[in-house]
Amino acid sequence: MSNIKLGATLFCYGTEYARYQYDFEDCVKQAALAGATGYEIVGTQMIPSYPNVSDEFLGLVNSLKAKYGIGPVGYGANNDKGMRHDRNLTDDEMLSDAIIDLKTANKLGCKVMRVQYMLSPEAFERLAPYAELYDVKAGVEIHNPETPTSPKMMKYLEVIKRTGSKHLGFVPDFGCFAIAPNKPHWDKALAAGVKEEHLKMAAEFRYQGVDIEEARQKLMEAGAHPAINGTLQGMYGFVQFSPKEKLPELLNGLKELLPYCFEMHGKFHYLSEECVEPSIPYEEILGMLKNTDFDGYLICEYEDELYCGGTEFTKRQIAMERKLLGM
Amino acid sequence: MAFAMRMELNKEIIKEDSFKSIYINGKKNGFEFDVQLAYYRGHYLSDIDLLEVYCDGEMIPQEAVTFELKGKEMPIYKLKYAVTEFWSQVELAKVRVIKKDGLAQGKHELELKLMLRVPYMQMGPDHQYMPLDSGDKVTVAINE
Repeated sequence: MSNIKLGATLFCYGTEYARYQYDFEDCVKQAALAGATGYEIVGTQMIPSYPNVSDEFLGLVNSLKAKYGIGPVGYGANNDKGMRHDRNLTDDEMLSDAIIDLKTANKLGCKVMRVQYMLSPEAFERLAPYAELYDVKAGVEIHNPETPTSPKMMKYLEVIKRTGSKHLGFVPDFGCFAIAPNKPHWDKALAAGVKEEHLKMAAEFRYQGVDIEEARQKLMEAGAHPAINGTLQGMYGFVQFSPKEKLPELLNGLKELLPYCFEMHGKFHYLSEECVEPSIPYEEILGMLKNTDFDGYLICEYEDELYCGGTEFTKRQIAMERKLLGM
Repeated sequence: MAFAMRMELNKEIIKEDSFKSIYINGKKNGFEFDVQLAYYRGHYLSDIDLLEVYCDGEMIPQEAVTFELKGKEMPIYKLKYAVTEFWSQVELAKVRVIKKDGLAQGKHELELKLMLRVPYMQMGPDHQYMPLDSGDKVTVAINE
């Protein structure tokens, strides 16, 4: 029987935060109002003393916990391999930065830390003893276009199995189960002058697995508006999608990884008033998840490509999750 | 690379209200303005690949421009070495420009070219990352 706790990442309110409509307290308050029982904090986004946690910020976090009843449960770390102007960071350097992240997560009281695959499997392996000392579980994010069975992720699985460490695992992001085009991208393309018939054509190419360059050429030959190029890039990149027939296979991949999953990211890009995500099949994903042994947070993550703010959508997302999970 | 990411969560990158003349020893000899990073997260200053200021189409010499964060004023050439100076996207940086006699009364076209690397979005096998365009172009007025 699963034990799924509902949370939100404060990243949902990134637009309001960047516009100074919300300060940190407002973000925590809104997450609590939306029904989150814990939140994820992305260090590079909201920690003023990043990469460290100042006593002043920790005091704020704790006072907000007392006031709104929720605190940080997940730390979103960034692994900035390209931070030097002249070369990539080495594994030694990436590991050193990741250890600072562990300290930050630990000080905030987070038991889970999301890491990105810029941290190589080799450096990830060397993180294990430190993660154990700080008792922070480090999970590699499985983010679209990666999937639970893609070769890159399998390399991390090898490390996890080889070390046997209970502190190395995964944080799957449900965006990788998309089975239809991203609605905000689609709508923005229409607004930019792309014809719907050309968007449908592009989606069809993606479903059929046509190579992106070939798809681009065919669309140009069909007279598509050049703005379709950005949309096409998304369809083959961070918001790629699979044919619905592939969903059972993808979900099986997730099931296999579940013993190593510390947290789930409930990615969403849009929710209608009926609380339906047009590209990510929540009914199927959560239908599967609730009948497993998964014990941890489902952190909803609104990616605001519409620049409209995440306050309303995050409420809808948690309401949708509750309904589908029968909570 | 032709493509660069743009993420104007806050429409105002150059804060127009902050624009004003700089006085050196009591005489108008430059100008300054505040800048917000146009992205959802902060960056180390070493992620800045390019920072140039143009006024009425003319580029200001790099040595006459500084970048100030948290009270620390730095020449532009040092930014790429600033691997521990973190610029939060809600914290304003101040750009200062020394320009003899400053800007004349009236309207001016101010352009900031600001390009960064998104340091976790690697675009190829080497040191190639998603470029982020956090530049801005505004018309500003000098009233004195």
